[in-house]
Amino acid sequence: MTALLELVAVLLFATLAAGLLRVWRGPGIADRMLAAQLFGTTGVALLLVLAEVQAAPALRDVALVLALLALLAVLAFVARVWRGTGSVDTEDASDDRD
Amino acid sequence: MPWLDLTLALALIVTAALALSTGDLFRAVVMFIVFGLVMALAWVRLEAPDIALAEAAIGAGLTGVLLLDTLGYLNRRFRPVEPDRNEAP
Amino acid sequence: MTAIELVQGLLLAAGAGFFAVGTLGLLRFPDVYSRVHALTKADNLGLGLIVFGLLPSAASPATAVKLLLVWGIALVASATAGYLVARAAHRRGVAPWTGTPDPQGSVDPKNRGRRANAAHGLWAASVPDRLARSHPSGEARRDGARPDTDPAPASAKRRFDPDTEGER
Repeated sequence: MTALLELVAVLLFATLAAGLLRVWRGPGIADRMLAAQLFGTTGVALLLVLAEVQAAPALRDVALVLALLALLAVLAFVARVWRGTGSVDTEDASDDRD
Repeated sequence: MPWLDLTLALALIVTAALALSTGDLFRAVVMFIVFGLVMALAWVRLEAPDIALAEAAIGAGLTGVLLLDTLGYLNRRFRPVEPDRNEAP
Repeated sequence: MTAIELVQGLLLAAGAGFFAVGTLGLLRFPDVYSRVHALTKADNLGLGLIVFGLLPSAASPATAVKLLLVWGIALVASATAGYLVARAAHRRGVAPWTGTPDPQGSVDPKNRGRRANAAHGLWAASVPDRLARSHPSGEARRDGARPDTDPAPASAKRRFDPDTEGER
């Protein structure tokens, strides 16, 4: 059972690392933010699995905090950065320099 | 779990390097959030769940929100760049 | 390996599979709306399956309740975040992907299955008009902007640059 849990943990982290590509490429800023949100949920799942593997119940509290605060980042993004009904506040940084 | 630790260390270096080296501020902020998350996972693997809790709350959560807020403020505040430059004598 | 452990293993594997597929969707889907779609599936079902896989080995009822609480929070958070991002994209006039294959087959074959010209899409005939009317600025992006290589006008690409901003 522990071996399976470890395998699941490695797989979850592999998906997280693969998602980094979307953060890097964008193209819009919303795509980067969505990737960050997926990372938050993947991290929550990973923490729950690790709590079982390492027999550390405190990690479930970490997962709880992470699940709560991952929402705040998206809220701040939508409310403060990507706002703009009609008037264009911030452009989609469809950016291809660097 | 040597593989998890190895990829974790690698991801730490990669996200930190990308957050520092990119020219796009928003990309840097998102990379910083991801870095905080990976750092929290690294603290978990180092068997320091209390520091992981602080890192998840501060690094991945609150600092990300504050940086995003600042970015939104900067984008609103410094919107009329080209007109100003054109009008300037 | 007992039957319960077998079920646990299946649930955990299915959850990890959902996360993998969600990440794949995030990487491969063409625009913001479909990425939101892929993402919320991974969030809800992937985390849910993993939580239910871990539930039988929870030491105490309090632990089980905490696991379910984490899932509940993630459900609410992911639904809210997906709705907010999709609404913000809609209000900003981000055009949805119009990659419908052309029935006459006049689409360039190398575009098929990727991003077809907006004029050929079924969506392009109906939806952008509605977008244009509902959009406050009255100016939806009707040009079938390709999400990946959006040819934004050069003036729109300005962003805050700390190196030059202080000189004004």
